[in-house]
Amino acid sequence: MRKTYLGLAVSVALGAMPLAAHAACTSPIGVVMPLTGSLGVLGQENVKTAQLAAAQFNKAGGINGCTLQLKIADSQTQPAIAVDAAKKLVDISHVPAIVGALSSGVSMAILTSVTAPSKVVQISPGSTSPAFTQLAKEGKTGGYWFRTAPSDALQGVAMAYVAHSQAKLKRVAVIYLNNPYGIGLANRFKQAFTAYGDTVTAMVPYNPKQPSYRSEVTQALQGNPQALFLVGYPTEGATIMREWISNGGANTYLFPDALNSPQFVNNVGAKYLDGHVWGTVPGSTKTKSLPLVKAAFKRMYGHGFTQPYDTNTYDAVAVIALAMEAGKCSTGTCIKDHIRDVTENPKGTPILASIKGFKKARMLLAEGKPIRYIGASGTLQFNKYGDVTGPEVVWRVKKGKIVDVETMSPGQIAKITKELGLK
Amino acid sequence: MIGWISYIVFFLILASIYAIMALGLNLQWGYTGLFNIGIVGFFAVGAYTFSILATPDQVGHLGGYNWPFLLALLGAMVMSGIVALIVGVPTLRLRDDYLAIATIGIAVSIQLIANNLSWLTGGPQGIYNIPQPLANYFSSNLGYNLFFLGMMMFILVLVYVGLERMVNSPWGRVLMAIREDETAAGSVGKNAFSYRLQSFVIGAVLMGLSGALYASFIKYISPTLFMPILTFQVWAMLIVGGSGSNLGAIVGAVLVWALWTGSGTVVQWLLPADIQVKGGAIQIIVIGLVLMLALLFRPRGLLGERKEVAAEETKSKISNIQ
Repeated sequence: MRKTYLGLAVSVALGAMPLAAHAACTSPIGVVMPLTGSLGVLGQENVKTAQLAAAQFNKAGGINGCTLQLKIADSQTQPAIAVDAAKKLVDISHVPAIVGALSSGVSMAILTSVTAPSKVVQISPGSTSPAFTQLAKEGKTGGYWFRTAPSDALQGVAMAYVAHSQAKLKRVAVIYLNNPYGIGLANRFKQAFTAYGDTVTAMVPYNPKQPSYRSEVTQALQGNPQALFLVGYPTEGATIMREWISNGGANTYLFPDALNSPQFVNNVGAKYLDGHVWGTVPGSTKTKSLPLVKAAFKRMYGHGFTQPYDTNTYDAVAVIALAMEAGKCSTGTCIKDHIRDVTENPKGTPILASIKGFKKARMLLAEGKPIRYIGASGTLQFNKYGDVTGPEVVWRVKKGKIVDVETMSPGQIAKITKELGLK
Repeated sequence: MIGWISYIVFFLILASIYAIMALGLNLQWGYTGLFNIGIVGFFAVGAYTFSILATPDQVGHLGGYNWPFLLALLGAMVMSGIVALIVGVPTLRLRDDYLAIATIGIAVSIQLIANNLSWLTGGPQGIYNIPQPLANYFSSNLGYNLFFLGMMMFILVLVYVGLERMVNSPWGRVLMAIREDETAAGSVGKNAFSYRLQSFVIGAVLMGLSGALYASFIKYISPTLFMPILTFQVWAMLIVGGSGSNLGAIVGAVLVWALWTGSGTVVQWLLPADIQVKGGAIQIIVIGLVLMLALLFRPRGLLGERKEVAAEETKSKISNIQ
């Protein structure tokens, strides 16, 4: 008797699947993001933005006449699991492109073992390790790798320029988070700052979630720096700042994008920061698409963006979808070749991230006219290594508020990089 | 169809990498009763040693030795054996629980070293460009994976046959005797410490081998991989398959890996789109449920008929007397 029920259940389950698949023609895109594990909180919110993008495309008429379907898989923040999930998406669901993953360690494992050998496009919304650029330079990514999170290389140079030319600093101590983001940015800054002939007095890594950072701060204070460059996230950043201030550290501070947060400024205390902060942040963060996506997200989920890389995830889906539409693509190679056509063509009609915008994009593409997608996370200019480039904004803290003071264009940063003799 | 074959080949390669680890654990726990909960530490030592020895020159970490595949594989095994020796000598003389604490501590330390000692391991950036054996001779990805699977099967059979011969030899019977009753084994002149150390080191060497093969197959390693969850996965494999049975360890590895990876897909298929982001949590529940059911209905695992050397006979004799 038990067996009969089991058989029934299995046949019902098996029967239901093909039915669902045959309902309409679908174009699948894979998503491998952490839904559980140490980055689960981030990943879940990020995936919601991917779903928003897919829903908007489908309301605008789908992709190549088909419904855009996201195939979501959980990476569990574990490389071995993520690699299997990606392989399954590529081989069994036949996705031509995968969005993911978040942490560089997981993205890299997928890239080297699944997407690059299978010629499938991979766009990561949150992996910032410079190792990807290196791999691309060696030709090992085959051009299938892209990322919508800005590379640390630009910001490191911009920060060094600000420290040298605007804050007029000669000696800076660096405390950085010991992960690919922290290491990448801190090392790049050190390269550029020392190229000016200035001194980095200390490079102190810190590990997350410690109750106190006294020993790191003490170490950074040796060598008598004029300023502190703190590369980290707001929670631990505030702890480090309090210990730096109470230990009598110099009161000029350099902050990167991750600390460009009003909450961080409040937690440290505006009176300590007013006029003492020089910050940088990838500047294209404020595009015309951003408020549209924010509003649409709120309408769909009832709350605003809460996590980093939300907009980057949205853009990853949007870019893939537009490239598929532009090239009538069903393969990774075709998508790879069309991504820059929809983001970089200066003659293209600007496309904003909304149902209306996507409808317009489909219409223009059908007429054979060029488009240029304006991302919610930036203008999305991918260089030949798949890294996104864009302007950097210099910010300061005035009366407890974050104020943008200057924008450095990609050309300007490239010029500085060249002048300093950096690659 | 070709997609399914391609995926199954990929799946089996990873499953057999896990199976080698489960076999190593089976020697330690199944046959000798050593409670090693630091499997991932030895796996990491093997993976890093292989990567450092085999990769071409690269900035950011120690390397550039360009060793051939087999030699680097051997180096990885030797290095994990040495680490096991260092951990084993002070702890194996003590009671079981000390080994457990020492191994879990060592595994966490190794992960932290990998994350922080950048000149050696590349730190959080990891090591990429890890070479694969004979990669240039294959034009298609599937073709190469088929070759790799063949190699894995060969290694797995070699390890399996080797272990079977070892545990069925007098040496293996001593291990089981120590597992059942250390005092009794000692009273007939067997040096329990020495045998436990041998078993511990050989098991760790297999875990190191598994790490080296993983590094070569995925071509990239970073500290994110070497988390305690991996140790738990291998334990789950051995328990479901049946500890004390080498075949059980292999079967368990395939089944649990299928459950771990497959449950996610099934969950995502069945869930409506708007709650798919919660699918990950449901997947974890399914895995936990299956493990609990396995323990309830097959407490000794699917193939776990522990061969008890002395105990069974003694019991029957005692009952005869009564």
